[in-house]
Amino acid sequence: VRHGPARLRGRARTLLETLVILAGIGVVLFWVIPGQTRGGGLGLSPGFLPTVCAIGIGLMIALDGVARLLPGTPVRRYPVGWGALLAAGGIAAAGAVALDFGGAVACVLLTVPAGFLILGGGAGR
Amino acid sequence: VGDAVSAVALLGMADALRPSTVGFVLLGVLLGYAIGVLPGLNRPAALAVAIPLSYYMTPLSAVGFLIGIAKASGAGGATTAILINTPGEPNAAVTCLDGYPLAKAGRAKTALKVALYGSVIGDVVGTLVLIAVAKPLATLALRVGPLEMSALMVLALTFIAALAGASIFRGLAAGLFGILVATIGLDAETGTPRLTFGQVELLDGVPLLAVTVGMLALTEMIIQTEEVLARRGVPAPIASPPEDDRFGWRDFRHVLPTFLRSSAVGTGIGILPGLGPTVASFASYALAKRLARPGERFGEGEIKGVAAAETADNAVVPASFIPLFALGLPGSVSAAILVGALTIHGVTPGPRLFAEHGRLVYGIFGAMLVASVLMLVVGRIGLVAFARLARVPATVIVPVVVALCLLGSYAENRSMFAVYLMVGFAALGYVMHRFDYSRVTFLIGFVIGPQFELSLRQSLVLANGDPTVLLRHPAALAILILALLAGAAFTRRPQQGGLA
Repeated sequence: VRHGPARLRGRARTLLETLVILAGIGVVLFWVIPGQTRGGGLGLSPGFLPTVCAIGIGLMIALDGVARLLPGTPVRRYPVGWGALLAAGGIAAAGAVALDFGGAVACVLLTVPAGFLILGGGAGR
Repeated sequence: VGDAVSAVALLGMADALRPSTVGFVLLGVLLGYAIGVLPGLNRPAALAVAIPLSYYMTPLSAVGFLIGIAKASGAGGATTAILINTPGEPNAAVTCLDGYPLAKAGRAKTALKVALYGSVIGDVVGTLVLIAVAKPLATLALRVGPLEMSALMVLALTFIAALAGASIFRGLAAGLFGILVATIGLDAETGTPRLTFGQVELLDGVPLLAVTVGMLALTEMIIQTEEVLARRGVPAPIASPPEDDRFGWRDFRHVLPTFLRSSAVGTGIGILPGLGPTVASFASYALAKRLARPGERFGEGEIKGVAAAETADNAVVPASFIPLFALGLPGSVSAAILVGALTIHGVTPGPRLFAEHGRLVYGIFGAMLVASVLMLVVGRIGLVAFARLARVPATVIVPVVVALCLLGSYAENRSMFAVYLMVGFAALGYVMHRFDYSRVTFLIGFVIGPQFELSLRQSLVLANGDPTVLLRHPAALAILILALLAGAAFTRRPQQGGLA
């Protein structure tokens, strides 16, 4: 829970997060769904449920954004950076490439030792 | 008809006792214990990694193997809570409250035994209730129309969304996102591709394995990497003195009422979609504390505290399968993963399961009881041996599990597309985790998506544009009103996580 200028920054971040997701939903709603579904004769349109879901998600995100921006709502921030995603995601991505080009053995031989080295050997003990 | 049902039930139970089935259940129990003790691996992640292993088994062996893991990992999770004060999963946090003080007082083995007996008793009670209730409920569910089914799914998703994440709005957004992702592929009614971006691999829909392995197992490894990078080490387990080996009939009788009460609490909570083992263990502990006798000091090493938490935790797993077997609705993430395993083997959970695959269902029930017995045997024999696994560093576990995730997602169709998709879903899962969007609700939305779309389409055809049709279906109307009321109530209170 944060106070003062940090709280203001937190609220700005909340607003930005809400707007970014709503923009993404706008793209899905007005570009992806119409472009990736075709009407098909009888019955409901194939785009019906995706559209309902996208509108529902947008509504929920907007309501959540409003609720989080209300005065008195605690502003929280995730305690650590993105290093873990880069490290573990990098190991997984490298392993996937090794699996693609070298097969299962290459994947294991790369992923396990590389992961052990990147994560610091026995440092986590 | 009754004789035929009994014959099917007996045949199913006999299937569960076949050496091959018992062998796979035993393998699952052994793996489950190991996973429960290993730091950083939780029940959903373990189940997700294990699905590809079950790919080559018969349906009964596969489900028995997965159920063995689900059940034993809960029991194994108590080991780290008691010996190193580190809950492997949120639901084991309550076990720490009294388990660790007991270990420090030189009664670690006693605490481990109580946790084991409680786990087995809770598990058996939950399983027996499942066996007794699932069939009548499924028979009733066969009379449920599409409107009622759609309303039930909305209610279940509302509960899960409210209880699995930081806010009901973000929970519902995650659930709807799961349903949206489930719509990718060929449209069932028109046969036209939908949201596939021209990818042939997506015509059959997004592979379930890529989603479950990515969002549960690989995302969990990314979260564990945070711990590794923060250099938080694993403390040494507390050793037990030789005199700490007594837990006789008298002690058992002293704790028995707590075992039974907590079994009822866990089973009741497990049946309701979304509540999960964390809520069960907290509720059970609170009840036990409220009913404490003079001299019982909860939070300072009270054996009944360990019993209450562990019994309720393990009663939840089988009870959460009741809505799955009766209605086809996964009430927990373990149940959602089980749907995946059954679907891989061509079995669709739902009310027709008893009619179409009766022998398999009773086989699964039998395998669940076999798993309960094996949990007790393996737990008693391997109590100390498993505790040693608590010292395996996360720097070893993370890369090994990452490799298993890659190979597992490749195994389903031998497709690299699924592997890259799995890595993408892991990244998405991590982003969702950071921003408090429940991965569990997403996954359950993804699993129920096709059934929800079918029920919704049938409901809309039935309504034919007339919303007053709901007035002719009072049950559906009542369920929808209940969902609305629940949603409104949950917007007013902060939530805590904990589905498994």
